[in-house]
Amino acid sequence: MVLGIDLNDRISQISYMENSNEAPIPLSAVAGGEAYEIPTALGKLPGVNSWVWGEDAKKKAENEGVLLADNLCTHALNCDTVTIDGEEFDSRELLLLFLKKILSLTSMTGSWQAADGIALCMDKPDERSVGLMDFIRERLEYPAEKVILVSRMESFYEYILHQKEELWQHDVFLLDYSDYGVKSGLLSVDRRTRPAACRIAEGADPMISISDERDFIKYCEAQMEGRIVTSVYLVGDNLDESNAKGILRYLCMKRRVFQGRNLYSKGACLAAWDRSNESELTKAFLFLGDDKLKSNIGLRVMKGREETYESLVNAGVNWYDVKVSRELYLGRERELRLLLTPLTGKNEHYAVVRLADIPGREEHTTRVRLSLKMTDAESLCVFVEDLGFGEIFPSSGVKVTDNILLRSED
Amino acid sequence: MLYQCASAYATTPYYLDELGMHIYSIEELCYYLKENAAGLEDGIMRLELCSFIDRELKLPELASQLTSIIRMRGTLASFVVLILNTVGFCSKDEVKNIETLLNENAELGIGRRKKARGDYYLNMGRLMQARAEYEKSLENLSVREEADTVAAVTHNLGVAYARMFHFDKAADLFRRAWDISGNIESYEQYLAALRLGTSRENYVKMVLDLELDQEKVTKLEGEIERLAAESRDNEDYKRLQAVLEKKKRGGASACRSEADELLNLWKREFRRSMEMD
Repeated sequence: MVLGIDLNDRISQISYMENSNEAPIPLSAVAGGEAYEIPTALGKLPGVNSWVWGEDAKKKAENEGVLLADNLCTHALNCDTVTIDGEEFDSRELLLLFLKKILSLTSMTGSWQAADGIALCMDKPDERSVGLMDFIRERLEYPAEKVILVSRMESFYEYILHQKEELWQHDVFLLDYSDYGVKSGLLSVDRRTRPAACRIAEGADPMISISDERDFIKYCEAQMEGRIVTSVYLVGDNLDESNAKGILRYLCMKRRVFQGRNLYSKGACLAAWDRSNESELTKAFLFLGDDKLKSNIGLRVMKGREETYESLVNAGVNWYDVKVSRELYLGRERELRLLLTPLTGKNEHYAVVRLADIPGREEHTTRVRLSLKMTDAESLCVFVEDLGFGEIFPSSGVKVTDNILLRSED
Repeated sequence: MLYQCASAYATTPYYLDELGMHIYSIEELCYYLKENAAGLEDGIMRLELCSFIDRELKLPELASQLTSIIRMRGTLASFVVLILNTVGFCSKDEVKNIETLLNENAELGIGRRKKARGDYYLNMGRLMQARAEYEKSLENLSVREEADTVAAVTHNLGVAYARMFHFDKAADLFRRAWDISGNIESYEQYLAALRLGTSRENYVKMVLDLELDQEKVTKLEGEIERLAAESRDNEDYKRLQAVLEKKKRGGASACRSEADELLNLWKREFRRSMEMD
């Protein structure tokens, strides 16, 4: 079983999947019901360490004096301390509590702790998301390596990848509409490459409202301009005949239109599945989202007496998943050369990290720890720590930090 | 060029008596073997080392092969070459040279092997261990058959004593080495040991009484003056001068902590040189 959770300040959703023959199934907060959209909120009963959550928290906050903790995601990303009932709480702990509550909905199908993977979906992961994920992985009482982070666009890609191929024969348009405007994504598949490269052109307009039909349609036209779009997926607040007749008529012209609210959690679920089960589908298609690394990063190293290539990060992984740590030995040169190989195969080049501050020693007698992480899709942080050579040449304790900008054509 | 780590990093290191240090990786072991090939002895071929290579360094295959060499009473050269070739720490030529050296040393008598180890310890600054090896070497050498080697060992033993500030004993040994070989360097060291081991007045008296070579005595004085001038650029000297200056200005209490620090540093260095293991 794998789980996908779409986390958002307003509404969160959870879906599960038990085998590849079945589509992901959303879980309801109410047994036997269809309460798939769960308000991302906790409510503290005054004076006691007892919490309610989701819709219960919202209702009891309005009617029964329960103290509401909302905007859990934003607070947790900012590592805020929030005061509730005169007590200070680490907002990340509150989000974790909410997460465990939502995971407990799997109890009818099986224990979430036995799941083969959990994917958390957030709108646009950034450096704060990486920190939050580290926190969650550390405290969730579940194998850290099985918790993955995916963006909403990647979830959209995963969802489409598992639909009938006729639906994505050409481009697929995602329209996410809410009170906060519209976000969109146009998925294109380049079948000339092996694997086929899949890209999503993202768009957004916070000012657009369905009440202004003409502007809305103009926006959609601009996003789909020059493209053949096979299908459209509508998520977010409902667009229906009563409030968006003209918009729907436009979208339905020569396209199939689908509407739903669980696309992201289902897509996240499928992402968790694909990460733990390689298939012909995942081998045939490669998602090159904005969060994906466009270059392989590696080193040329000596293994015994043979020179070889050691891969550090493969292209195609999300930048926020990059967390590498390696120990190796320096030669006489006080530098470390990272080999960057773009997916295009062109412009392979070295990024040189100068290590002049590390004391000079004989060849092969300086052990260093190389750590890599990224702060966005183009910024690679390199940390090199001198570990010395046991007691023969004790470590100087020197740590070198460098930031490398990965070129846009990388 | 960068090098992959050939082994895990030990959580529990192995204490290498010969090095007087713990080792944490196969590379450190290779470095020791390469740098000290001349002084290596069969004693390094231990099952405990093989167990460490297996358990801590996570190289079971190498450990198993080394264990076989020990059990089959294989040579030191085969033991060392296997480690170096498996890791690739040295070039093939370097390994070949080490293998040749080890095979040649295996043919040497115990006296010469002990000398080689003594030389190794002397270079490492481990004076007590150097002394012990040189003394064992002398027990196993015949001055009639190996005069040059006996003279070299005696001379080096004198160096070890001199570095321990036992100048009178050092002088005896340098004199003996000179008597055996006629090596002028031993004579010069003899003079230096006499000079450093007593007051200037006594030394002048010795020069006359022992009818020491005047030219060499003068040359030594010149050398001492030159070294004294050079020592003013030495870090230890500068630190000492700074302490004395501070004492002059503010009295003993003003420089106490710096003086203690410097003394403790010298004590630690000296004690280390005097450790047996």
